[in-house]
Amino acid sequence: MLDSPILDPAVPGLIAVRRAPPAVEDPRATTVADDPVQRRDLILLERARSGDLDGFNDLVLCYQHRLFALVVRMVPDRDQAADAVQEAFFHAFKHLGAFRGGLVRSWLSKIAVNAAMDAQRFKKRRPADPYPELEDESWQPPADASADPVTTSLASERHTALSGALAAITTDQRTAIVLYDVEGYDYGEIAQLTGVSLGTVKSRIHRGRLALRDLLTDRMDLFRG
Amino acid sequence: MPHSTHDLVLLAAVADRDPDPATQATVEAMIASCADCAAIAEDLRALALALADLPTSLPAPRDMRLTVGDATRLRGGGLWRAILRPFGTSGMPALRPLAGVLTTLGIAGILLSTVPLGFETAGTALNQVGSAVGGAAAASSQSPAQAYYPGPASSTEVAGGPKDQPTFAPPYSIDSSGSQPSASEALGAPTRAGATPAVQAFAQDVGPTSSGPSIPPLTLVSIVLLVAGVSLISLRAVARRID
Repeated sequence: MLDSPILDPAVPGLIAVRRAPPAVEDPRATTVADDPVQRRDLILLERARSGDLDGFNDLVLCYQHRLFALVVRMVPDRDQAADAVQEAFFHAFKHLGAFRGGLVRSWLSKIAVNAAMDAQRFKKRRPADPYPELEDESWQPPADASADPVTTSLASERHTALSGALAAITTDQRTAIVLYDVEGYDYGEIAQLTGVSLGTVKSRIHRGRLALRDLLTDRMDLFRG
Repeated sequence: MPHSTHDLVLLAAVADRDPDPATQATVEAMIASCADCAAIAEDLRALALALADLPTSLPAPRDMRLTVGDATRLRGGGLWRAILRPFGTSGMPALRPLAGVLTTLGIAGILLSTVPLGFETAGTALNQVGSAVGGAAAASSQSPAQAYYPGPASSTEVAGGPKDQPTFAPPYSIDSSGSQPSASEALGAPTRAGATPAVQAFAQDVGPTSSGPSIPPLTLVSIVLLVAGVSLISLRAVARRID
């Protein structure tokens, strides 16, 4: 869990959802020296820029699952999501020269978000797969050593319910919630990515949360405590 | 105040990472005064936590690596890309201001050379500047009006002008007898003196047709600058698009 939130119950009235600020998305926040992942990414990117296809494909291997997780929540159809991720990698390869420094991960994520939004806009909507992450039976989320079966099962059930509810809300609300609550983008970045005003982004996030709660009213015990 | 009157959309800001202080105060007041709102706020916080806890990696249904064929296809237009790259955002940083300066100078020059300034010497001086900048032919000592209209300036001179100075007839000149114009006259062939003053005046208004208008050097240089500036801007736009 890269973005595990920290709840501070000792401070009443403080906002409950507090995750580490999305410093990883800020190109100025991380230097090459203090991030081995970024160092690796830059090396691979340089190889790709010099014409080494294997270098780019190594980058694809590093990020295809992460980008798929991002896109499949925005485009809850697995095939469309896979197509969008593939398009994102095509775009990245074609525009390697457009990388202006900063985090390679962030650059690829933004390309994938744009590809997902294009997929939402232009492709004909098909019935959404409500449980995308459980479709592949061979894959299970990595469990740490301390996780007991009950906890793992509960988390899996929670993710399933949440993914189903996400697939049921409107596209705009889903996009805003995934970018804000799941991916950790801030309002300004989302407004820039989606091409709407800051107020619209906030409204979509807030209304989307209320819609999720309405959809999950009967299963809220999964999320409490 | 009953729960039904509370703004639930505003309440949903309770799960924001960085709400503005005014919203936060309002939300806290709602939670403190309304048990239903407090319950909803609790649910929204729990949902936000669960959303943040979703796995950041899911198995892609297929291998996304690019094949050699993909790479070849995507690299299409490599020559154009290489040619245009210096004009793109990653190219010369001075290109954009240079294009702006050239375009501005071109527009300003054209305006100065075409807008009547009200005094003859200014036009002459500008022409000389244009001539010097552009390295064009030696600047004419005439005003722009004189350059365009080489004929005599006054009507008396038109009527009795020197015989060796050609004047130009309009495509359809009408002689005093009212007969149809001759073929040569209809084709715009120059006529010598002997035409009526009305014809001469008309010819003066129409201006030269057989030798073509002469462009003042300043105008010429300005057009070149404008074309260069616009071309650089266009190249940059295309290069950015390709890049």
